[in-house]
Order: sequence, then C-alpha cells, then structure tokens
Amino acid sequence: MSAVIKIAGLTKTYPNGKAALRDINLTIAPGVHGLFGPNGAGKTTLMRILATLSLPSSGQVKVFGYDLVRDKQAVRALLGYLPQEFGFYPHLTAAECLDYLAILSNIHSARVRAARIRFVLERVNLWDVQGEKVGTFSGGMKQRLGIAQLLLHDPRVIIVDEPTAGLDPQERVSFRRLIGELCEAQKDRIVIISTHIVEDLSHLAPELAIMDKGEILFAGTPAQLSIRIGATASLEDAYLALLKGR
Amino acid sequence: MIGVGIFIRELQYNLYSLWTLILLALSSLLTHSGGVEYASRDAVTAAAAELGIATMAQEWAHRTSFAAVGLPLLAVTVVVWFSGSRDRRYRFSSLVNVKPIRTFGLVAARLAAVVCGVLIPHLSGVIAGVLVVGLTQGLWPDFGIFLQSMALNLIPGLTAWVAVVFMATSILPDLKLWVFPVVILWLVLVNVPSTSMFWFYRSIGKPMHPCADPQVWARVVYSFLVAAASFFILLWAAERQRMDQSLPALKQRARGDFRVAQSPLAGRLRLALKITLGAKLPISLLAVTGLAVFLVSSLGILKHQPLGVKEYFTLAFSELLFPLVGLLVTYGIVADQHNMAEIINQRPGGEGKALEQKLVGLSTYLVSTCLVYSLWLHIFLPGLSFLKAFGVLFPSMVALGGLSILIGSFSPSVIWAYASSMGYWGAAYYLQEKFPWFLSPLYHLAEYSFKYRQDLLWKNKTILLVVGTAATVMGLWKTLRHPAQH
Repeated sequence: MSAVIKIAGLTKTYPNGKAALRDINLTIAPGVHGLFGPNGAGKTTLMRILATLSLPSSGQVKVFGYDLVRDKQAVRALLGYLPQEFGFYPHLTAAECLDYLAILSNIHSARVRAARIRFVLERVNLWDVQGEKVGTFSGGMKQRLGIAQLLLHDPRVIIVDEPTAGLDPQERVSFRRLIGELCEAQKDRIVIISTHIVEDLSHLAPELAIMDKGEILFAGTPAQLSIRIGATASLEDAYLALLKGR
Repeated sequence: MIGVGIFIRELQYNLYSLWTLILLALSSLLTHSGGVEYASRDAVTAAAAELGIATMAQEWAHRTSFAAVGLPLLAVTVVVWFSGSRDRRYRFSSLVNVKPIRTFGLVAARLAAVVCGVLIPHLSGVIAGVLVVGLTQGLWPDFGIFLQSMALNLIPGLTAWVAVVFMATSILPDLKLWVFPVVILWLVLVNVPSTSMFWFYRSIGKPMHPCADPQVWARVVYSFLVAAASFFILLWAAERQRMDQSLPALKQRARGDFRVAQSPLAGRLRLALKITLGAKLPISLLAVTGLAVFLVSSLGILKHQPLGVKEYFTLAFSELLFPLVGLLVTYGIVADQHNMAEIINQRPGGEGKALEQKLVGLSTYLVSTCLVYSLWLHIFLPGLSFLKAFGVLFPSMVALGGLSILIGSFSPSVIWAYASSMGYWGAAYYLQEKFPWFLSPLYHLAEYSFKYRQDLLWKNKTILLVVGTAATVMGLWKTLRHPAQH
C-alpha cells in the first residue's frame, strides 16, 4: 500500500454548470501540504472530495491505494477531517462530544476511547475543561476541539480546511506547533491544509499547491515558487505575481 | 457494532433531557385527568355499550389510548423535530459524515434511539397515570384489553408517527416552510393508524378481543410499512446528503445578504406581509383542509368512519397548526433569532427602531393571518360570520402571541416557549371551571374551537385581548430594558 494520494484528471462540475475543478493532477506524499488560493479557487471543493463528502464528476483519486469513490469506507477509516464550518452539540461536554465521535470512528472499547479522548484533549490543551459544555467554549477552543476530534483514531491522512481562520496569534502559533508534532509522530502521515494566511504556509508547509479558478497553477516548494517568480520575491509577492500572471 | 454503540449513546442523551420529564409529566397528567373524568361517570358511555363493552374497566382500558394521543402526541412531535434537525442546527453533519460508519447503521441507530427515547417516557407516563387513577379513584383498566391496546395500537401507531416526523425533520431544510406539506404527508401516511390510535375501540370490529381482529393486525402491518417506508426514504436522503447529492429542494439554502431597507419600518412591514400572505400559508391551508374534506367525502378513505372521526378531520389540522405556526413566528420575531437588533440599533437614529419594527411586524402578522384564516373559516363554515370568526381568532392569537413574547423576553431558547405553552395548557385544563376565559386559547389550539367552543371564545374576547396586550407590553418593555442574552 503506497502511502500517497494520487489525483488524476479530477474534475468537478456542479449541476448549474459551474466548473469548480478542472483536470487536477497531483501526487501528495507524506508530510504537510498547503493548498493556497483566492476565494472560489476550488480549494474547499477539492478538500471535500478528498474527504469523501462530494463526488468528482470525472477523474480518479487513490488514497493509500484505495479508490476514493469505490472504497469510501476504507478511505474514511484513514481520514481525519476538519471542515471550514462545523459545530458540536452545545449541551454535551467536550468529553461527551469526543466520545460520540470516537464511537463513530470505530473505537469500540470504552477503556480505549477514554484513553484516546484524554490523549487528544491533552494534545490540544483542553483536558482541564473536558467536563464543560461545548456551548460555553470560545471560538478558539471549539477549533481546538475540532482538531482533537480528527485525531481520535490516529488518522493517516489529515485534511483541515482554513483551520487558523478566527484564531488569535497565540492560538495560531500553538496550532502550527501541533501540526508539526503530528507529522513528527508519524512519518508517513499526510497533512493537507488549506489557508488564506501566507504566514501559516511559510511556517507549516514544505510543499504547496496554488489554485485559481479550479486549476492548479503551481505545485512545489516555496523556494521553487520564489525562483520561478524571481529569487528575491517573498512568498506573498510570489503568490500575487503568479495570480496576476494568469 | 458501531450502530449499537451509537444507539446506546443516543438513547442515553435522549432520555437524559428535560424533554423526558416534560413527556412523562404530560402523558401522565393527561391520562390521569382523563381517568378522573371517566371515574366520575356512573356507567359506560352509550357508544361503548353499542359496541358490546360491558364494564367500566373495559372501557377505561380502551380510553387510556384516547388520553395518550392528544396533546402528548404534539409534544412527541416537537421532541422528534428537535432531534431530527439537530445536526443541521448545530452544523455537526460534516463531522459525522466523514466517519467510517455506514449510513444504514447510522440512520437505523438514530431512528431506533429516537423511537425508544420518546416511547419510554410517553408510555411510562400513561402507565403512571393509570396507576394513580387506580390508586386514588379505584378505577382499574381491564388488564388484557389495556395490554392489547398498548401493544397493537399505541406502540405501532406512535412508532410510525415518530418515523415519519424524524424522516421529515431530518431531511427537510426549513421545517417552518414545510410544516403544512408534512401534515399532508401525515394525513396520507399515518392518519389511518393515528385514527385507530385515537378512536381505537370505536373503529375496530372486535373491541373486546383486539388480538383476534384481523382489522387490527392489518393496521399493525400498515404502521410497520409506514415506518419502514420512512426509514428507507431517510436512508436514501441521508446517503445522498452525505455525498452532497441532495435534491435541490432538500438543500439548505444560503441566506441572502443582509439588506437594510430604505425605511426599516417599511422593510419589516413588507417582511411580515411576505411571511403571512406569501403563497405558502394560504396554499397550505387550502391543501390541508381540502385534502381532509376529500378524505371524509364519499370518495375518501375515511368515508366509513364514525361522524366524530370525520368532524375531527375536516378543520382540525389546519386549526391546530395555524396558531402553532403563529406562535413560532411571533416568538422568532421577538426573540430576535436572526440577531438583527444590534445591526439595526447601531445605525444612526436606529435606537429603539428594532422594537418599533418588531411591534409593526408582529401586529401585521397577527392581523393578516387572522384575516386570512377568518375568511377561510367563513368559506368552510358558512354559518359562521366573518366578523365573529375574526373576533374569536384575533384575541386568542393576541393572548398566545403575548405569552410567547413574554417568554421570549426572558429566554431566547425555544424550549421554554414550548415548555411554558404546555404548562399553560395543563393549568388551563385544571382551572377550566373557575376561569373559563383562561381556557379559551387552549380550545382555540385544540380541535374543538369553531365546532364546539366558538361561543365561549366570542364571550371572552375582551378579556383575552386585554390579557394578551398586557403580556405583549410587559414582554416588550422587558426586551427594551434588559434584552435576553443568547
């Protein structure tokens, strides 16, 4: 089983005729990968397809050798996904919410679940408030709880859509550190992050893909991007120049 | 395996809820009050005697289901509504949908948990009510008939109803818009078993031996088929929803951008008129009532039902739902569920405008809905004048609206609106002898208002209007000074 995601000729056209993705070809190896692009570029559509929440119109995606459309359940077992917009039942405590999601993640033993919940809550610094209702949490705490839920079954592929939007600078730094640790802990793990924030990418992602209007404009390292645009260009300038040059 | 785990967890959450207490209290109180009323009689009713029912114990055994299928069914509906729509309300679906559980297991576990979660407190309440009646009044039901009535009538009928409501509330994006079509679905799918739930002993061939009656078993099979059909529709919709393949009509629409009208007052007025006189309310009323009339006509499936059943169907559903929807709309306006007050207030000269708009919107809504419905009643009950219909409806609606405003001014959570309404119904029932006016809106909410109680409502119109207006003023005064926090 090859520890990569292979995307070949992927397209997505909505029923209203709008093409959200056009002929995407990408190979994603273990490590952190940033997905970057303006609003409406197709990042969320691509992430939702990778997370098995949307069907492609054509093309093929293989996740660790499993076909995304045919072997949905197998792919889901490998995945941890944090969508851009999500919520929890506000009347449940953090631990209860995670317990529910852990059962859905196929963790049957109550003892194993309790241990995993403690582990992930400690990772995101929420163990102290595990008994408090989620309805009382701040935006940043909910975001961290979102991260905790995706780690429950120790996934091989992590997909996070705009994870740092709405976080304060301190929480953003903690989040970046956490992502780094996750990759350190398991070398063949793939982390895909979409973001608007250039700073996140420069700190997090050794590999990045830039999208616009449903197409991949660039895939490679930040250094390769800078060289392509002009060696002295910052990542932000390089990104803007790339979009302008279309 | 995951399904079993989810079922246990869901059932635990369903039962560990304020709603469990509400359901238990409501079904036990209503069963108890029905029993007390029945115990005061000397002999079985004439209708029961005609059916061969000889003793009070036998009739009471049948009538327990009568007590258990009125308002408690409404409460069950609300609980299931909340349960079915919670993933959408709390945006939890995307976290659930990506987990490696099969849709079949998830849907089956959730449906089974919600059925058990409402049946356990509801039936426990019925049994508690029966026990209290037995202990305090000495009236005990015939055990065999009671058991058969529960097993062959209440349980299959309620299961079918819960399955239909859970299916509808899980897949329909905005139930306020869909409430009338859902009722039509109810009329078509569940009404036959539901009728048997309510009028069980009167509508079967062998009331003394329900078990030996093939008609009863046919109804059980029918209820099972309705529940199974609801499950498969839900499964189909959930699978499509999971893959973002929902039918366009079932997709949650993005709200349009917030626009401030040139005149905020006119904007709110337009909105209230749109809500009221837009196509949905009149068309839904027409469809529901028209279908009900058709069902009881010589062409309909209820043509052989007793007169009482036919009367129950003709205007009952629209009459029952009309004020309920009104209650929700007024509550939504006052509790500022769309968080518009701050946006309006921060505009230059906007202070106080939000309240002014609410008042205008509310009045417009109340007046125009009552006008529409009065006209409606006048058409269907030509003996009832338009003026009298309006004079009966408007004060009742103001009283109910006032109640919801008062509650909304203290808590934005909709659960209190329902809990207080139910508390009011309970109090009204027990105080009906002393304060008949207090009961009036209850009768308006129940299915008897225009057929049996229009005179009571007409007589008490002034006091209802005064009470309703006072509640409205107090609620708005409270909102203006110390608005309820979200």
